Amino acid sequence: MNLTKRKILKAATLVTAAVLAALCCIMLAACNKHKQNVEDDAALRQTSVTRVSNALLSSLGEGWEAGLSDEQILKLDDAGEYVVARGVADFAADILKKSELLTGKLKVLADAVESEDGKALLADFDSNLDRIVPIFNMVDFTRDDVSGLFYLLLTSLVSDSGNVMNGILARLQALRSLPGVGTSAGRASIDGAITTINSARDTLVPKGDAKAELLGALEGAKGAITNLIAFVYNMSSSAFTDEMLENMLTGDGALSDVTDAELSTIVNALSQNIVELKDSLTDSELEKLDKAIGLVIANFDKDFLPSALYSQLYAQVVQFAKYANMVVGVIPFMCDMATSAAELFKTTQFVEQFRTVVAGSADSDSVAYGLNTTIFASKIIVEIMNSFTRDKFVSVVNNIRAQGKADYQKTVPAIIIDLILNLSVNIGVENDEDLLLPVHKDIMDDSYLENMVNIIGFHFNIGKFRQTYYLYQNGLATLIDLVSAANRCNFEDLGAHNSVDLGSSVNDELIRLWYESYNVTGVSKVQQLNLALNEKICDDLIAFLDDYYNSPDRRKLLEDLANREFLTAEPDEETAQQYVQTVLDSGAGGFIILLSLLFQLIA
Amino acid sequence: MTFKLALRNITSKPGRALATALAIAIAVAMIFAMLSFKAAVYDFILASETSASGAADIRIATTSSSSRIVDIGGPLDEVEGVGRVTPSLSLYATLGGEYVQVRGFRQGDMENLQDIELVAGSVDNIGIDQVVISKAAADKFGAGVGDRIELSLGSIKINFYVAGISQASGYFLSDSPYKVYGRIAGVGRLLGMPEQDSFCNEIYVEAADGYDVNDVMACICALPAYKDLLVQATGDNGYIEEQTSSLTAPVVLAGAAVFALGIAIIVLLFMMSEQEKVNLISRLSVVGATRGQLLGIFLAESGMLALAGVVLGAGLAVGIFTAICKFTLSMSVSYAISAGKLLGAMAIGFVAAIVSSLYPIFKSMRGSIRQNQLSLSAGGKLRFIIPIVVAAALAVLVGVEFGGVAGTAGTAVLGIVGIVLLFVLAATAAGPLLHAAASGMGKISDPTLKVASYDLRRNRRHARSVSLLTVGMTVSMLLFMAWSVTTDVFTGYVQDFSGMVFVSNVRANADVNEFTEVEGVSFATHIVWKQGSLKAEGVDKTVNVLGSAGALELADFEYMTPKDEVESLINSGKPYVFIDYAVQQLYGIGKGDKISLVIDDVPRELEVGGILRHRLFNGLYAVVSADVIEAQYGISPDTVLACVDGDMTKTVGALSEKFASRNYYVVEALEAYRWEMQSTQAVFDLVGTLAAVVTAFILAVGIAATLVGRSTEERNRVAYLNAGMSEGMLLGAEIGEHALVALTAFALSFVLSVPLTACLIHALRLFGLYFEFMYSEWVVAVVGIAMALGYTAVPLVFNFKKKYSVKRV
Repeated sequence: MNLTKRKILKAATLVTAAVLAALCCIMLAACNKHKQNVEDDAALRQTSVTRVSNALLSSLGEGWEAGLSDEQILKLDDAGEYVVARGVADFAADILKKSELLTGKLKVLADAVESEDGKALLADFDSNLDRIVPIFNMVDFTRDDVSGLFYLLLTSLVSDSGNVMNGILARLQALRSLPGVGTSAGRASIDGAITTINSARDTLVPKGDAKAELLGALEGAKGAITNLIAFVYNMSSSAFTDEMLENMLTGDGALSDVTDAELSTIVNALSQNIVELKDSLTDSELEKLDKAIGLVIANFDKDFLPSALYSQLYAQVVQFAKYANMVVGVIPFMCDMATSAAELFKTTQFVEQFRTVVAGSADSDSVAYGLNTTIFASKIIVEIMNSFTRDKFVSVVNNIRAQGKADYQKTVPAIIIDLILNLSVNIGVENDEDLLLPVHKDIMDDSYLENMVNIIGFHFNIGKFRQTYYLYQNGLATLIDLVSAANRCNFEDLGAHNSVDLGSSVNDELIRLWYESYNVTGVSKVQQLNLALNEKICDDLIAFLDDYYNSPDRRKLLEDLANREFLTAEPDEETAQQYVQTVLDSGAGGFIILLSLLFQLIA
Repeated sequence: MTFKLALRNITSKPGRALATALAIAIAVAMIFAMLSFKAAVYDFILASETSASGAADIRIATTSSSSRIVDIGGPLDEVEGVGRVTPSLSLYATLGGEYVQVRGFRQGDMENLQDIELVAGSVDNIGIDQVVISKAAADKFGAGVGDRIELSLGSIKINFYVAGISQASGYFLSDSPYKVYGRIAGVGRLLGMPEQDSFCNEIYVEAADGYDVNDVMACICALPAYKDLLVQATGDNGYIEEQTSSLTAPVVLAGAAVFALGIAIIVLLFMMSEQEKVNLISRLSVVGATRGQLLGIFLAESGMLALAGVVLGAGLAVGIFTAICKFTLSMSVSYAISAGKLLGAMAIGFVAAIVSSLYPIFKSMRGSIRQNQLSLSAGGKLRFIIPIVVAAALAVLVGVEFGGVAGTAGTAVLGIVGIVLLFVLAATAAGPLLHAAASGMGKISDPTLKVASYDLRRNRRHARSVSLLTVGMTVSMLLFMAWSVTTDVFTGYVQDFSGMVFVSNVRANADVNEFTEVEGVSFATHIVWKQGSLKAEGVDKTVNVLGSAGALELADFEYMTPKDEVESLINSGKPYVFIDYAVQQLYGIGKGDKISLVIDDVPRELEVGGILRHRLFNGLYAVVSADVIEAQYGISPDTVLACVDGDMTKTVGALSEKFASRNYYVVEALEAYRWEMQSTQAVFDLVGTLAAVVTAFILAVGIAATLVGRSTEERNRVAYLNAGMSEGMLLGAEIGEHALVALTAFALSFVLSVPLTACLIHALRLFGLYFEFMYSEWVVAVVGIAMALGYTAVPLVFNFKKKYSVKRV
């Protein structure tokens, strides 16, 4: 090989080696960068959730800072509550970390809760969990974020709460075992917390088959649950507000001077939320949702309520579950009613009038405003009634009837509607005592309506009664508070008489027996009465439907009311009286008045 | 035996063989580049124009007189021939104070029209508050994956999170203004709409297999749901062809010269060693070689060299051209490499090499063996006569061409003829001019220069070198002038818009006085600004339609038709159109003629009411009143054009603030044109790069030819050295030769570049481009001087001195 060729070969070898080395370096750098990016994201995520957890903790108690030493904790008078709250805050942080929320959003959430506005919102967080909504709005949480988070909370309460409580307990026990440190109040608080957590662990934490069953039910109903939560959140944050209307109908705004066609598109978009909910709740989905809700209530609706935040978490979940339980069977129909009502908003003429009515809310005492809201309510009712046939309504009622046989709580919507219908007819009676007389005496006797009112009171106060007993046991409520809570449940009016007489010499054991009498026997009796009423109520509802469809005069009155123009000036007394009489004579006065009151509340 | 001799010829001078093969390769590459240039630009413009629509064939969009948003769904699915339907919501918002185009799709639809090639992040299951941006946008706004960005529209501000960063491909190929892609449910919040994927303002439709797009469009237009919407085919191939032709015209013309030069290079290369080959033929003839054997030897030799050259050239051609396109136009567009053009370029190179190699045999047949051995040949007065004749012909042609007697088409044809003659003049006059210059140099007493002068006059290879260099230099100057002309022509008029502001997304009934109330605004008018097609007999040209009587105030038009008459006609409400003098000159359309103006696929006959003159859009515009457009086409103005006589930035800010809540887009006209010109700039870059690369090639080939020719004169150099000349002196002489050749080439090509540019501009009229003479002397001078210096430095760069040897050859 001559010199030149050797040189060339050497050069080629060197160049090849250099290129290969460069390629290797580039690849390594790229891989490393990817790994670095993943690590950075994980670190940012952890930092963000820790910040949220610490901010939450700080908001729950005076002096409750993160990172307190054992000695500092034991010096707190509410040391036990601190440790429990720390555990719950960490649990919340863990949920956030496991969630599908973008890391960027977690950072924004952390920034938000540490800001002055965020701190103000968190200030009453433990007693008012609704504060979570404005916090979510501050950080642009979407409906998917919220629904995903709620579902994760649900499943985590089932799957992880045991471990959380074990962790809290271990911490409490570790603190208790520290000798010669802290105040007596602090140590007493630790002891109290240990007792509370032990009890909570036994009663609130599902185990074994129950746990598996509940997790399975939640998994099966995941779609339905998340869709329902997303719907509720979306409606709370993107309603057809007056601001939106203001922007659309005046010269300003991206969609200013909106046309009827555009308005139709906008309303369709708003209604899409409702349509999506209905489409997602097929019969099989409803069944799964029903089962899951039932299990959640059965597992978590306990008398026992540990620390403030903890109880609020469970209480909110149970409350949501109970409301959902009441209406789950009729959600699809309610969606249909809402979308048919939305059709009214597809003309600029109606929307202009609607805005006029809303503007009138500035002077809520004005007669014109009140009458306008009744006209608005009539339009909604007529639109709904014209959208469905009698048979459709009857099938919904029979559906409620069937569901009510299995679960007394599902009769509540029927009870409310039947009450309103009966009141609608009786609203003009001269004698107040006749207000609660049933319209269809062949179906119901005179005591029925009164019982229905009492049952409504029972449903909405039984939880409070139980909670008041717990507070009484812990010295946070008086006997008078307890008795008042019992009275609000209307046990006696419903015939659930207490076998225990408190009398003059009251002791804890007597009170316990008195409570158990109401809580077990009394509740059972009310439930039986509720179930017995179910059939009659449904028959009564169908009778009202027949009244409507067989009475053209009444329908005409309602339609005349609905077709009236909104008032732009205060009417004279005669005109006002005429309006009111028409409302009363229409047979739907109760609904009209209820809807108009609802409208006034929103406006 | 034949093959062995041929191989021995090649291996005896490996440097020359390598130079020859390389030169052939370069010539093939140059030819291929010129053949493929237009197609590459077409691919790029097609990709840019269809970046938004991608795979879709039809676009349905809202207009200024229709609803601004429509429901998704509707009867499209029932139309026969409709394939996949992709709705989208497209609007402009601001990000970091800059306008960006925001586009939303339904869940899962984002990659229906284009694939998104990500640099980072993911677009799978993209959330309603997540977006994808380009890498350029990410760099501009300092946003990475996971970062939050705030988009504003009027008074509404919405935060989004970056889910992915894309390459400059697909949707993001045309990224000016920056594009932001997300979900309809997320983007719609900027309009105050709820979080739903249920509405849109554009619908893209793919025609099903086997269905004609026009038929499907007709069915869609017939549906009541779409009667107010704009339904049009995406990617107007006619427009893209036209755009491509306009942008590439100057280079295509210059490319023809490059093409010819490529062939000439190969021919001249083989001619460089002509005398040596003639000598060899005579020696072989003496020892009894037949003509057939001689033919076989040279065919084998040139065949091997040519084959090596064209194969290398093929690789070089594809590699270099594709690399140039990728780096100047776009990395992500696929540029079709035409196998036919590549084979054609290779075939041309191969044939030219073979034919050239046979010339020595032909020449040897004319002379006796002795003449061939002693390199005796008649001087030939022809080489002096030809340039004189050509110069005379040129003089006549110039007189006719510039005398204005030939008409537009005639002038254009004469322009092409003029270009050819000028190159012939360059090729033929360079030799005699060098001879004369060398004679003059010989009068200088310096012995080095005297030796150089003698060699220049005696050795015919220098005549070929100077011809090659002159033509090459002229071609390079022409290419760079083509680049300069292209750039000036398409951007020169933009500065005329420096005092204007576009306000778009304006409803037709907006009060124009609201704009003139703003401080700094001197004039404002509603205007319809669209592209249309001007059709007449033998004419189908895309024009910019300025739909407003107020458009006459936009620029300082020269009124070829009296101004009063024009103003009277435009305000009469009758269907008049006003065109530019350039259109009149190009196509012979005058005042009173009827033409068809097509806007949004709606053709209407209008009468030419008058002729204006301005370099706006190179004369490709048509002024029509807004009333006529509304009456004839049903198109309402959606833009207000405002003239600003105050501080531009302040006025734009004031307008933006005043109309922010109404979602009017206020953009300085220059900024808007920056968006338009961004993609065209890439084509300008390609032209410039191509010019530079071809220039480098030409210089390389010129140098290679010189080296090849020089390699046959080693005997002469040895003789000088043996006679006592020092190496330094010999080197000086060679440098002197190179310098004089370079100077001669530069002088001649510089002078010829002026009429060459004029002829080029005339020739462009064949492509529908009409504009006045423009010439950048600095461009020409820089190119010429660079090449001249490069050529002069060859003896030093290639270290001629090192190879000097006194050994007998």
